[in-house]
Amino acid sequence: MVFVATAGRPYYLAGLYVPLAAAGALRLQRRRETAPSRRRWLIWLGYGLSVASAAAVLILSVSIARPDVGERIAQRAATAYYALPTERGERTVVFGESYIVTAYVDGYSKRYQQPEAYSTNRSYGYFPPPPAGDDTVLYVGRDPGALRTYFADVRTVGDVGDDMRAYLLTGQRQSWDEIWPRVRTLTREELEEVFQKYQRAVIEVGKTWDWSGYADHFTEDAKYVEHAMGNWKAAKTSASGSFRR
Amino acid sequence: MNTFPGSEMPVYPVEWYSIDTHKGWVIFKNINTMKDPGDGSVHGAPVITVLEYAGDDKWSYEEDALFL
Repeated sequence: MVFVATAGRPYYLAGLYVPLAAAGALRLQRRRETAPSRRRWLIWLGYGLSVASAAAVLILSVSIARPDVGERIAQRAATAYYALPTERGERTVVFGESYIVTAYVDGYSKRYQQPEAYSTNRSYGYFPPPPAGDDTVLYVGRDPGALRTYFADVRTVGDVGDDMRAYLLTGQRQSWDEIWPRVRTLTREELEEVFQKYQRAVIEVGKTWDWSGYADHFTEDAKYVEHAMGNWKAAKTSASGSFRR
Repeated sequence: MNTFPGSEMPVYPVEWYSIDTHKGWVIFKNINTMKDPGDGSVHGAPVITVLEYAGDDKWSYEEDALFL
């Protein structure tokens, strides 16, 4: 219930397997004590099978796990970083597509003498944006996606493995302070909250019929499209605090 | 709220909404409910709205599609 209410992940419940297994074992033990079964061999078969499958999963998971994958990504990102001319490298921020990749780069940053990585993915987006003077991005991931719009040139500079590449983004078009909130992958909670605030404001407008504060919920360069009146766009004016055509 | 005769409170009930965390969009359908004309009847027009979030509690884009 707690995890459903807090929008948790299903695997958060994995810890509950322990009390479940304990309850099952206790119950089985009590049954054996009160009424010894003639089918005891079946229970032993069950024991054997569980032990065998547990051992199999253990062996399989060790062989499937690739503990070196994180280090390889960090190492290849560092190689791409050091391939840059020194003058360029000093203005370059390493940027991870996902928080996982970013954490790999961060975790091995000492070993590979690499600067700390930035990301707009999940909680990384809540760290401050890169310094204003750093106008080049070494992007580690599948595709720079939304970040492309904010840079004049995007080119591939290396292969990182696992379907990922290192991209060099140059020709920054806007400041990090402007880019950051736009490319940050938001949490559902943040959007829920801001939408609730917006709805409350709209209900307030409904009560007072005073639309003057409505535009305060929009940025200065916000656009408005209204289909019933034909497609038209409006820009907010800072003077009146309302929308104009 | 709107059925009481003479109610002066137009409301915008949100019928459903959907949140796209990756794009930062909130898409919702609401009924732009008109002021009660006085006889307790409810009149409204459904609208589907797209809001694009810009951060800092502000939206940078609104698109309304009304069914008139």
